[in-house]
Amino acid sequence: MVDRTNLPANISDMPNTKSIRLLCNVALIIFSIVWITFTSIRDSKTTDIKNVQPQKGFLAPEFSLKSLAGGTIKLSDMHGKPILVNIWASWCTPCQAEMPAIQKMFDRYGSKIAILAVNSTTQDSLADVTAFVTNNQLTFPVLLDKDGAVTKSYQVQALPTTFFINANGIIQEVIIGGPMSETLLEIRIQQLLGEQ
Amino acid sequence: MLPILNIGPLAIQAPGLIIMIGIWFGLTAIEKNSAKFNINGNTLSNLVLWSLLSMVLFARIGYIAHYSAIFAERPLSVLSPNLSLFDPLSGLSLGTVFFFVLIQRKKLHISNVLNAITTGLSVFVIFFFLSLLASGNYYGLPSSLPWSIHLWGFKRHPLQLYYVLALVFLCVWIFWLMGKPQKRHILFFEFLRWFSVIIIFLDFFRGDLGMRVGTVHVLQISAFISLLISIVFVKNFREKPVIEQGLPPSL
Repeated sequence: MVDRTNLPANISDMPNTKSIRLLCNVALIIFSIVWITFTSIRDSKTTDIKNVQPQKGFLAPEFSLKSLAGGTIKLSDMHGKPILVNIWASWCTPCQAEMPAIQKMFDRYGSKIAILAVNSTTQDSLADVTAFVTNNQLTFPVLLDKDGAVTKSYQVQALPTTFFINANGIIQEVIIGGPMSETLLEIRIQQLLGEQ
Repeated sequence: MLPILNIGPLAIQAPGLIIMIGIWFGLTAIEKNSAKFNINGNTLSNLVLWSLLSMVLFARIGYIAHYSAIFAERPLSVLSPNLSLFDPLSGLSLGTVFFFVLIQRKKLHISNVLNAITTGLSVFVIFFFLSLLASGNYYGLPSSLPWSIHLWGFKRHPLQLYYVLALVFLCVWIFWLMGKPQKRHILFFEFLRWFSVIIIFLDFFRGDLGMRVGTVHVLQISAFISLLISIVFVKNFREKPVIEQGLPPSL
């Protein structure tokens, strides 16, 4: 007969199992330290190539569009100060709702940041755009994306879509949908200005 | 990547929808397994729901506190439904504190509650990473591997899918442990341990900048701290299994 009085109640309490567990935990910790160090070394050797994409952290795609007021505006001409690019249409209710807030921000920060309202003219009519801008007394530049190139390059899936771009031309935030409140706009603009 | 689902005139934010589905599945898993910890299912799902709501509330309060001068000009904007006016870190940290306060107020055993919510948590994190795939955030490094996906100008590691795959395995493991009564008391820290390992390993493939101190990824360091904590607690709980409690009153 085997005397079981001194045996552990559970197999998981056996000294051998405990040693294996301890070994596994030590291995996990060592692996983690090595992997974190390896990641850090890899990142220090990686050159930061800025790609052009309509996404946070990437360079904003370039465009050159005719303005409703006349003349052509290029995005790259605005570099050196933060830019707000709002893609909209006159029939879109949230776009209509956020325009007064954008106008207020233009009145307040117009000298420090560039605000460009890109009208998705392929989905709009020039007469409606002109009427909307006049009725709402919008004084910031309204650009006409007549061939839909900007809507395409900025991968716009819903209107309005707003891109907050820093002074180096890098997108800091994309807000899909609306309406954006004055508070939200002011906070984002101050964040962009704070970066400079 | 599918940030917006256009259904007729409706433009639905797909990541938000996926997270809502994840919460629903997570709560269902929690309710189903609560009896195994002698906790009332309604009590537990109410506890989680209230904690989630508190996270939203604290995320807004944290944001208001940070930009108080701007909110003071327009006090009504504190009620704005805009999802960009939230501070996730404040929400997560203060909401977690509120969760523990609720547990204490309801006289529940902390480790029992943590173990009881683990199945739900393991289901929810899968949906969370699916939502990141939908939004195109937390994308992977450029890669030429055959399973790479085209995202943001390059063929990249499908990082979010790596996470989903790893977390599905972890979820299966957690449900398997749930079926073993002698293992249930270490469920939460077992989940935390392997979730931390997954983050430490997969964050290597991260293509976006994220939060970094120099070249060190803050997420990896946080996961490493969680790993150490979980190892200590798993060891502790293995040696001292908690005593099961009776059914508490509903919230």
